[in-house]
Parts: sequence; structure tokens; C-alpha cells
Amino acid sequence: MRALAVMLALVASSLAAQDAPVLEAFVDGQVEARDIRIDAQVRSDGDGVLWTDEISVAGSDYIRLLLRVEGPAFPPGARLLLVGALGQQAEIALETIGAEGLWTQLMPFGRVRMALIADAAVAVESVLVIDSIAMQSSKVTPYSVYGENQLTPINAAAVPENLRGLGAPVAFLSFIQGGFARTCSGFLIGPDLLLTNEHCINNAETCRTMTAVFGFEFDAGGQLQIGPQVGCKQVEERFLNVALDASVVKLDRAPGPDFGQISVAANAASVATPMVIVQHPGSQPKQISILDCAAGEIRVDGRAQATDFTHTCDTAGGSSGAPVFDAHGALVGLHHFGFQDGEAWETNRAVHADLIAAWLETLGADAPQQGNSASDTTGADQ
Amino acid sequence: MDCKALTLAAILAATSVAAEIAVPETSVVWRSRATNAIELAVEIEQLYLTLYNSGNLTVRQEEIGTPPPYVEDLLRDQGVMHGAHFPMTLDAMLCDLNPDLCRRVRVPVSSRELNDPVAHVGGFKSSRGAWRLQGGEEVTIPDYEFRSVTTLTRVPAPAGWTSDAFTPEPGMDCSAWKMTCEQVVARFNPRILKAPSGSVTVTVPRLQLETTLSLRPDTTSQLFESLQALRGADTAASDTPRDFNAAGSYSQDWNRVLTRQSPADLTLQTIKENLQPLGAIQMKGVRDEPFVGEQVDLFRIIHHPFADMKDLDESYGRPVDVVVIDAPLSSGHCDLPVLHSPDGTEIAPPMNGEINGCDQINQAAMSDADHAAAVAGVIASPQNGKGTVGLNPNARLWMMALDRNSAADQQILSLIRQIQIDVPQDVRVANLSFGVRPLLANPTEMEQAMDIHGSRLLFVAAAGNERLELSEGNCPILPACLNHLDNVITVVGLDSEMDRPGLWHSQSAGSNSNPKFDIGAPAENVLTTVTGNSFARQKGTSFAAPQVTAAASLIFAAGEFIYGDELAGAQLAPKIVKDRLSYTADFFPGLSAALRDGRLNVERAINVRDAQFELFDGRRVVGQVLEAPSEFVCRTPHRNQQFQKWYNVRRLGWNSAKQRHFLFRHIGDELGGRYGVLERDPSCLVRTLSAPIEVLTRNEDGSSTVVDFHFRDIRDYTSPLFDE
Repeated sequence: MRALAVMLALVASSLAAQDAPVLEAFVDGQVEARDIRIDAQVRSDGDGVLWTDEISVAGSDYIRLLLRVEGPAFPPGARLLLVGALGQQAEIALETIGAEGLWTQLMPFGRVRMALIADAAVAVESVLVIDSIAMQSSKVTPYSVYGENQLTPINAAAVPENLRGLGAPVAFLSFIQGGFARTCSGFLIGPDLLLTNEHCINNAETCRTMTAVFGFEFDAGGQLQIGPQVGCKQVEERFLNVALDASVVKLDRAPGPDFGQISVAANAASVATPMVIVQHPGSQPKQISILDCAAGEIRVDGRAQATDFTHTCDTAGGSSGAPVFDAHGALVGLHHFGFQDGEAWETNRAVHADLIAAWLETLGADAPQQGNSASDTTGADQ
Repeated sequence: MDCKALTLAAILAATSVAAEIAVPETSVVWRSRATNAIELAVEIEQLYLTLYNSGNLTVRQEEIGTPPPYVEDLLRDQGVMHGAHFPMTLDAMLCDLNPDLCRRVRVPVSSRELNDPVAHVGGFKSSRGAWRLQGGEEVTIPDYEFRSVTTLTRVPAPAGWTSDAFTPEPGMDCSAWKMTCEQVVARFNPRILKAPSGSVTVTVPRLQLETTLSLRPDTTSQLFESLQALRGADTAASDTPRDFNAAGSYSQDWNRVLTRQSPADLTLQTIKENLQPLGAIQMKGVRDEPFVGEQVDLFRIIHHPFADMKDLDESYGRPVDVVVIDAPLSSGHCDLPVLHSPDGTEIAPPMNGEINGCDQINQAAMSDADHAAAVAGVIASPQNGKGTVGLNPNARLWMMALDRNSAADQQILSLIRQIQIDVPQDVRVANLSFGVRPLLANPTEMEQAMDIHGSRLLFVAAAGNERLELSEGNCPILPACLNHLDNVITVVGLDSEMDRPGLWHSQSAGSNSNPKFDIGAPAENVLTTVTGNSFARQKGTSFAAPQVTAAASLIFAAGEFIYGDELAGAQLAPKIVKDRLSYTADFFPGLSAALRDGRLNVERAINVRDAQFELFDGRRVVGQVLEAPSEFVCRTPHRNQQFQKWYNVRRLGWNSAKQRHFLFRHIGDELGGRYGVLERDPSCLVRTLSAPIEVLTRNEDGSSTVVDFHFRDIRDYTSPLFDE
């Protein structure tokens, strides 16, 4: 009943919040058409490795490729092997590429080596096309910081161990929207469920282009690491909440057992200060805002009436969808706005976690399995 | 022990330790080939000198009686000296082996003599030792057991010779043929119909000396493995520990040579004619490389001598140290030499039992480690009868690991530190097959880090594969865009078209270009080594750059071999080598917008000794210029540059599109100097019509011929590396 009341109230109040700015995911790069055709003319005959090549985009932090297949299907087992920096390697079965194409996972430092491999002869008319390349290119991140930028790498020595542990379920989200490469943050709330902002992932098209990158962080020695990348399997209409700017994304596999999950408890903790936000600002590895990170106004209008609280935690474009914790590690909010993102709001904003918890309850049996209290909030094995 | 002694001692000690795991001590059988006692003494002299100079002479202590014998008599009594005379070099060697009992005058030899391991005693001239023996002392002498063996040989004999004329020498034993030596002679010299009149050649037994040589463990040896493969367990040394001569008395220069050359290989190469089985220990030739047929197209394009299946001559045999800065490699390769690291560790090729044929192609090898292995293979895959051959199979390879898994600016900071601190001392060429586009890092720091090596190290940088059309004012890729430095040369990737090359590109990548970049080399279908003891055909400027690196190392090798006698221990300046690569490149009008000089021409670049002419009538004349005009007219658009000084001209090439010559010349230095700016004039109309040129050429039989022609006949001229 409480949840229903919340929903009704939100719908009723949405008119009152019409002066909210249009929220848009951070643009991190562009998509460039390439039309690189791997046809019979450039492939070797027979089976085995039929073609190799590489792509390098100088100065780009990462690239992604949009693959398409034309003509008869490639034989079972035919695959594109991608090898990139930081040990990133992927084998894409060409038979899984649908009519709409397939965006590959993110390849760090703008370079990838590729090999087309088939265990059987490929029809002459079959063509693998690298249709487009998404290239990270933003070099100046518009920070929404208060005073000096106090964002800190998650594994920096200054970060307390208990807070560092909060970050494991947080992922860097890369997706294509409106012809641009964009990024957000998100975090696991179930073994294969990820919570982020609705203005980040909000339809099947965006879902199809998304890769969630776990473990994208500098380790304690300052060495950059990248963990597994997981795709988006589904985002249902009912798992979107425009008013709360929340989206629950079902992943195509479950990283939860390895990275833990964050509890959005039914009795979510109230906003209190001090706070911390674990996030991926810009296209950067995981960072945490601790210093001077506090709540401001506790109940302000967001996209709906009284859904948000303001805060002074340093964030940046790309931090949308990051979890806001209290000092005990309990989730208290979902960050969704940095004050430099628009003009209508002049402060950083997050949506109250208790409202999101209530909404999740309304999803019934399909809702993610939640803990019962803030103390169930889990970090990953480190 | 003095400092220089420590140097080699440390190396040998380190070699032994490393070799306990990878390469055991080994042995080979030496057999004399002398036909008389004088030749035998010379052979023994060469054997001992070779072993002594490489630290492989096994020794023992022998107590002498009273009155003390002459050292020659001592050696003969102990059965370790044979032949008609006792060479002074052996007296000098024994003197140096017994510094407490003998003193002698020790004058370092010239660098030319130093290149011959039997032309000196530990780097010093031979001299007679002043012995102070009184009797009862222990003298260090060679420790070998010589055996007499009977073999057959062909010798000239007078007309009418018959087998009855043969008398066996004492000690001859023909039991291996299951007959007497007289019967052997009769059998191998039958009467033949219509025998030639006059002297004949006959087969007779001869006595030879044979002994077993032990060689120290040596992980740097390229020959140990083939030796073991050939002879199996026989090569293992005896269980009895052997004492080798200490290296304490070598000259500093000789110590330096030994740090850059495998002592075991030095020994084996020098006495290979005497080793059993004959020929087994010889270095493989380029023809022996199984994949060389697939490499020939590349060799032809860049005019490498291997295109004609010709091995490199001795001028290029000195191992030049080359460092590859690339991703880390964790294991060796069956077709790569020992890989050295600045931290002192080494990665040796796997032993035969650990590899699977060394003949697999793996086109899916695409990791960063595969990249590093591929670059190394293009440069220095050895001639070992396996896989491919590198463009300088004698190069000594160092690998410096660059962390490419970090942000661009971080990579640059790491690279700056590595370049400033870690580059090993004797490295002449560094290959950098990568590019970084810094976000914030100041290129000046990188530039300074490379510039400090201006006198010792040439950097070869790949242009990059982003297909960018760069220019002097828009060139953000490091290190490629730092080629304005005298010791940085940037390599553009070209396609495989022989006559009209263009920029290399593939479906998804292509060479960056810049009219200011220096030189081009093929960047496709480069067959080379990858990890897992496999091979792959690679593409990209990463594999064009190492071709230039290898060519540069050959220039260093030949230049320092040929001109090294002028100043012992001195090296070529990197600028000399960079300029040499530039002005010897093949010019193609179609490449002008993509690079400055043209496509790598290895043959023209590495023939550092000769003037090279190509005449309009098709003749190629190579040799020393005896006569040439000191000045000639060559009209250019520049005022005051119509008169060209012959000694400043490095190249006069023909641009068929313009029907005019182009010109490379050094300016701003003294006449004939090489340290001024190398200037390229794209258009020059030669107006000197009749000036004579005379060139002294060498014939294959060793004789010389003077070839003369007119200046107007010159289609292409390349100067020697230096004028003398």
C-alpha cells in the first residue's frame, strides 16, 4: 500500500516538477561510420584464420565496433576474435549477430587486433562488416565539484577499507544513444540486475548497445585494471521509472557472485551526512567522493515532487547512476544530476533510495531480491 | 684482480650460473688437418689461442723438477705440444697464465687485429716471456689429451706412382678398415685405364692428432643447441670438473668484445674447420631457413642481400646490440636468439625437447607479447635452420618492457625514465614500434630524454597505423614526431609494390604519413616470429620499423668494423647512420607527400666502404673513386648553390618524372664533413658534361680494375660512408 501511495503521489506531482532540466547521459565520444567490409576478396580461402587486421585510434581511451553480417549466414563456429590492451579479449560468434548489428565490448586505449576465424568454408557472398566505430574522445570532463576536486581513486591508500569495499558492484556503463558514445555509472542490486538512471538506459535500443564494465579501476599500485564486461539482456518498460529517474537493467550474465550487490532495502536508510559516492566520472576509472560529501536540502523536487535531495559530493558527467551511501555504507540515494549539467537546478541531486525501494517493491515477483535492512548492503570480495 | 679482469670474470661467472639450468657444459672433438709438422705447430697455436682468448682453455697445474725445463719442453713432455716449432704466441700465453712466474711486455693490439681471435693474446701483442723458474714450482699448462688417429687423405704424387711406393709411418693404424695400411692404399688407388700422365693425386693414410675440447656453459651461444641436436648426449662434457683459464689478464678492449659475443660461438667459429663432425658446427646459411622462400619478396623490395640467398659477409658479423622497447615477453622462442634484459636476466630459446617443430603458422597470435616477439624476429631471427631469418641475424637483442596498459601520459612518463636510465651501455639502435598521443604530457621531456643519447643511440620509430595525414605543424604522435632529432628516424609503412609503392593500408588501418617523416619500408605480409614458437604474417608500421632498425645495426656493424682501426673502441655517431639510411633510400615520386626520403634500400645503405654508381647505360660500378671533379654544376632554384662540392654530395639520384637529378648533400660542416645538416634538393640539373670519373673496382678473383666514365653518365651515385 505504501508503494502504491508513493507511485500515485509521484504521478500526481510530476506536473509540479515540469521545470526539471532535460537529463541526458554524458557524451563521451562520437560514432564514426567506417563500412569496413571483410568479404571474400580480402579473406583467405578455406578455414582457419581468414583475415586479420587492427584498428588504432590515437588518443582515444577506448573504442567499440558495430558489427553487421550481410549475405548468407557464416557457418557455425565462425567468430571474430578481438584482442586488446589490459588483457581484454572477446570471441564474437558471428551467428549471434542479428539484423540490427552488434556492438562489441569496449577495447581500452583505442586499439584492437582482430582475426576472423572459421572452422568451415564460408560462403563467398557472406560479408562481415565493421559498420561503425564508437571512439571515446572527450578530454575535458565537466566536473560538478564544490571547490577543489576531491574525487579519489577507489583503491587509493587514503580510502578506508570499509568504503572501498562498497565499490565492487559499481560498473562503468558505455552505450550508444542518439549517435554518440555515452557513459553512466550503475551498480548491481541483484546477481544479474543493475540499477542506473532512466536517462541513461531507457529502451531496448540503448540496452542492446550497453556494456557494463566491472573492476575498471586503478589498483593499489596505480596499475589500471579492467574486469569482465557484461552486456544488457533486457530493459522492460515496467522496470523504468521516469519520475525517479531509475532503470533496472537485466544483464546477460550474472556478475553478482564475483562482485557482490548493493541492497536497496525496503526500509532504506534516511539521508544523513557525511556521505560517499562511488562512481565513474567522465570515462575515468572508478573513483569515490568522500571529502566534503554531504547532504544539502533533504526533500527537493526532482523529476517529481520531493523525490530528490541535494548534495555537495564531487561528481562529473558519467557519474549519473552512481550509488550514494551514508557513512555506514547504507544506500541512501541514486545520483542523477551534476549542477553543471544544466541550468534549471543549481545543485547536485540524488533520488532518495527509500522511494526507489518502494518502487522496486511494486514490481512484485520479478523485482530483484532485496535485503531487509541497510546492514545487508554487501561489498564484493576484494 | 683488476677492474677489467672483473668484467669478464663476472660475465663468465654469470653465464655459468644461468647455464646450470638451460645450457650444460659441452664438448667437441678437435682434429688436426696439418700435412706436415710446421702446419701442425701452427694449428696447435691457433687452437690454444682461440681457447685461451675465449676463456675456454682447460688447464692444470704441473709441478716442474730441478733444474727447471724450458716451457716448450715441459709442454712436449706432457704431450700438449706438437709440431715442428714452438710459436712465440704460445710462450706469451703461458706467461700470462703464470703471472707469478713470468713477465712480458704487453702492448694492446689494434682494433683490426682484435677482430681476429688468433691474432693476439688476450688482446695484447705477442712477446717473449721472461720466466723466473727455479724448479719445484707449479706451472699452469693446457690440459688436453691428444690421441693419434689414422685417416685418409688425397695428396699429390709424382708420375708413375704406385701403391707399392707407400710406407706407413710409425703409429699408423688402419684397423678401422679391417686391413693393413698397405692394403688400404692398394684398395683406394687401383690401376686405372688411360691414367693421366704427369703428376697424380692419390689416397693415402695420414696420422692426425685428435683431442676433446670442453666448452664453458654459455647461454648466449647460438651454436650449442645445434651442436647438441646433432650429436645428442655425446656433447655432454665428462663428469670430471674442468678448470678453465681465468680471464684476469685480458685487455680492456678484448674484454669488451667478449661481453658482446658468445665466447663459445667465437671458439666454434674460429676452429670449425678442425671440429668433428666436419661442418656440423658451422653457422647455418640463409638457404637453410625453412621459411626464407616466403621472405624473399620482402628482401627483394628492400634490396637485402638475402634476396639472392647470399649470406652476409664478415663485415656485418660483429653482433651489434639492439634494444626492442615493446610489450614484455615471458618466454623464449625457438627462432629467436637469447633475449637480454637490462635487469640482467635472459630469456633463452627453449631446448629442443620443449618445442613442437618450430614450424607452425599462427595468424591468430595477436597479443602484445606476440607483437614484441614479431618485432624481435624481423630484426634478429638467427640463421639456425629454423623458421625465418631476421634482417640482421647477428644482432644481439635486448628487450625493454614497456607497459602499454596505462594511460598515454603514464606511458610517456615510464618511457622517459626507461630511456634515460635503463638502456644498456653498448646498445646502438632502439626500436620503438608504438605511438602514444599524450593528453597533457609535455613532448619536450620525451624529446630531451631521446636527445641525451645523441652520441650513442639511434631511435627508430614507427609512424603509427591510424592513417593520419600529419604535417610539421600537426604531429602529436610520440615518438614518431620527434624525428627532427639527429638520432630519431621515423618509418612510414608502405605496400608491397616493387616499382610504384604507395602508403600501406588495410581494411581498417593504414600508415600515418608526414612529408617530414624520414623513410619507408614494407608494412604488409612480414613473416616473423610470434609467441608459442610459432610464426605469423604481420602488417603495420610496427613491422616496417624493425627493418630499418636491422639495417641501421648492419651499418653500425660494418662501419665500426671497417673504420674502427682509426680509434679503438669508438662507435659511429647515430646521425651518421640516420643520414646514411636517408640518402641511400630508393626515391619514388609518388611518395613525396607521405615521407621525405624514399624506401629503405639495405644493400645501398650497408655498403659503407664503396662509392656506388649506376650509369645511364645500365652499368653498375662499385669501388673507390680515384678521380672525380672536386666541384660540378648542378642548377638548383637556390642562389649560390649551383656549384656542388663533390665531397659534400652523398647521393645524386635520378627523378625520372622530372628528368632531373635530386641531390643529398651535407652543408654547414667542413668539406667532406658528415655532421652538418643533410639537405635534400629535389631538383638539380647537372650541367657538367665531360668531367671524368675513375673508379677502382675489385674483381672476384681479388684483382682490381679501373673503370672510367663521364660525369654525365651518372644516373645514380652514393658516396661511401666516409671519404678517406
